[in-house]
Amino acid sequence: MNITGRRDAMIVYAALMALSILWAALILAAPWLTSEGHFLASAVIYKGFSAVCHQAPERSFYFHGRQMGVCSRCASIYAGFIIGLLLYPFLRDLREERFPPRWILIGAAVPTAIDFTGGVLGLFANTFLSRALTGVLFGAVAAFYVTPGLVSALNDWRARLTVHKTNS
Amino acid sequence: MNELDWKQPALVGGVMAGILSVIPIVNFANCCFCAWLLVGGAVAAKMLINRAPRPVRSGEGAQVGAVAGLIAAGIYSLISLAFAVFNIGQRFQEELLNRMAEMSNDPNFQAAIRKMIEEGANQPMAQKLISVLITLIIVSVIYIGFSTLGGLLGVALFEKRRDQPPPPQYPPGYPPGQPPNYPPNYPPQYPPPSGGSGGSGGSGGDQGGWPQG
Repeated sequence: MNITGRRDAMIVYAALMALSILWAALILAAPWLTSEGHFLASAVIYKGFSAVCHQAPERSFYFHGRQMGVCSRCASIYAGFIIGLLLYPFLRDLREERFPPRWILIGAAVPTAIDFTGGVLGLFANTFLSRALTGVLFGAVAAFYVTPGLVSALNDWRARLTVHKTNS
Repeated sequence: MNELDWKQPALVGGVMAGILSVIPIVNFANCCFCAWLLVGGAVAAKMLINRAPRPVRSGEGAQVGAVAGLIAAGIYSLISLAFAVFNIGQRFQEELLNRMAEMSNDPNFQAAIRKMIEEGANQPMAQKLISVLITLIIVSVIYIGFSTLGGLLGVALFEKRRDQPPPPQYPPGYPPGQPPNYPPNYPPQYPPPSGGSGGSGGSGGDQGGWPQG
């Protein structure tokens, strides 16, 4: 186990949590701004999210009577990611740089892949519940891979900075 | 990551993700959790792993993914600006907005969407470019973020040498290949062997380099 500075790990964790909450807030802000009549700001957010989601109205959750910035599957993955981040400090050392075994990530992606592929191929009709549950599972597990990766990235950067300072 | 050859993996991953993100129809895969960016980052990480003589760390995967995302965002931005200047893709955007309006039962919302489409059609070029630029900044941040995720997940999936112990870290200037806790005068300098080394040449011949007694 590669153990690094606790302060650095806390910085990474806090930044990741803040970004995730901001991301979720933007997803909710798009419909809220529309309902409040701020169409231009809302359009910019919807357009930005269109880069990562099909935004099909019939497959989206609604907030304040308008569809959210992303579809139900994407919204569930992001919500799951925040849940995973909340659970992370209780299940793993924040300073851990190494990933959990890869089969956990693959295993968590399988239900989402089956739900998505089955729907596309017409084998069965996926529902809001199936998209939400599979998405939350995948998002929560993904948090356990993203966090140690970013902790490792910060440590690499710090190590390079130290070497650079020592040499100069 | 300095000692790793990361430029080519980042370039290949970035160009791949950028081009696939602008080709019509093919780019619909990005609607599924920015798939091409995740793939681009993962490809960059996989290439980095294949070229690295040691296990690639997750942070290095994130970094090569981020650079690939930056390249992809650059390609996407250039082509999107060209599309905006020549009014390509306007009709698709109008169709999307119309669908949103049809799904809503609120007449005020429908009226607002119609107004937005009309304003978009009559928008001066300067205003259109500014709105495109704002969108491009948002999209670029998203691209870099998702490609970084792709790089991270790529290392998680493809790096199979993680269980090996990492190589020792040497202080700056220390000769590579030597353990860090050797005394400063190591290795000791032995006098040349008298009477030759048995004709095998080199230092110590088949004795593995140890001095002859």
